[in-house]
Amino acid sequence: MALPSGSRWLPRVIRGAQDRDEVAAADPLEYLNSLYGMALKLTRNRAAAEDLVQDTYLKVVRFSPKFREGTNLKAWLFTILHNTFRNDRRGASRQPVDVDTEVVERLPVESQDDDPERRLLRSTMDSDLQEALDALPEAYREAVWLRDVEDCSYSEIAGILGIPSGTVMSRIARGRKQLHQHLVAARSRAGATPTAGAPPSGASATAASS
Amino acid sequence: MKDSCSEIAPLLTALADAPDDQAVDPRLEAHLSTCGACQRSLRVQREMHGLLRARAASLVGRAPDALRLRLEAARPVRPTAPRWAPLRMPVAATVLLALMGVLGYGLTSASSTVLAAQLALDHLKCVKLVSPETTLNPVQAMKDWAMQYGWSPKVPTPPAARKASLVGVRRCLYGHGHLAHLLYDVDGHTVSVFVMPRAEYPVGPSAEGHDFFGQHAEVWAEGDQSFAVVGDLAPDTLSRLAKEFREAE
Repeated sequence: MALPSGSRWLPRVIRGAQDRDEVAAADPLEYLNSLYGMALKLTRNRAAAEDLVQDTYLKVVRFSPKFREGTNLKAWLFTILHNTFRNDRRGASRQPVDVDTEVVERLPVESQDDDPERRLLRSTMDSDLQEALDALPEAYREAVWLRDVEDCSYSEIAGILGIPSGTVMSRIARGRKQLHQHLVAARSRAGATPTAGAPPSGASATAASS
Repeated sequence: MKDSCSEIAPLLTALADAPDDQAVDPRLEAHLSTCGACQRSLRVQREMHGLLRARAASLVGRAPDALRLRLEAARPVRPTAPRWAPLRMPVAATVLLALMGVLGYGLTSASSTVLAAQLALDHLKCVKLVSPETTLNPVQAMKDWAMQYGWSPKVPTPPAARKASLVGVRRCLYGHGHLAHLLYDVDGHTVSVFVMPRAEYPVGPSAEGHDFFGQHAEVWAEGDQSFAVVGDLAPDTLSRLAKEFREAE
């Protein structure tokens, strides 16, 4: 039933920004791990993530005639995944949280630390990082994931999420700061010494969620 | 300083994930030299960007093999016969028809065919998630469904002549809550019954049979709801079972 890899059932596409001179047939299943990872970050539930990827794939098949040559396939797949997730939740009467107010958040006063970046990089477990990512507001989580994990450009993320690039940057900046606060708070709870940018004891880690 | 920080914020974010040797905007450099808050923001953003990039592969992880196998099985082929091109059918219908060798159905039954393929995939996935030992009360299950999703699927009564029980109720994500997936244990086989509003899933009143991924599916409509029965039974056995579901009161 499965076809040989590279079967040219989709229009010829350009794989990505690095290969813009190389037109090639691409297979959406090459991005299955990325689609599932993103779906899991959005739904935070394995069964729902599988449903979301499956539905996305069926839509990809259905919409493939609309795919334009020269479009980044990965970004196109993420766009369909994002829209499918959003459309499915539309009837769930959830109120979106305003995360795009133009208020600049300031980090707490920095404590002395010789090399906080290395310390955090060394000591953070993947599970802690996943937990901290899951704790972010959805809009921040999605933007940070696309930029820092999936390495999408700002303009690609703006296209995927359907928002201006400035809003993308703002969400990424706030998401990174909240992520840092979550990680530092987790380390503090575990008895480790806080690093640079750590909130003072009792400081809120969700200052930008309203 | 606050307005200035707001203006500088996008440059700061871009700088945080730029290569180390990238030239810094003079305006940003001047601001950073006097603003401790933005210096800290830059440091934290760099730290988080570096951490996530370093862990990207393990964070993304690997999709479950079962999901990969299901989607690979459903991977369509571009039809090679040029005579199909002028039909301008939806590609999903075209390729699935070609893939499964059911070209004879033609345009009029395309929606039923695509729906059956989609439901066969969902059946394959969900059948692994239920335990035949679990027995649900169909009436209570549908009351719960109506409370949660605002509409009441008509639950087909299991055929009295068979040893059958409702073992699972799932909401299909792509149905926006409008596609109820009921799993029955019938004589030791897990069989899916899908109930959908007919307006959203229009199929004809007569039962149509389809075979996808080793599953047989029977699709029909009754009143304002559409139904499908899917299972790995022989086509004639499943057709009989679907008929018994339709006729059971």
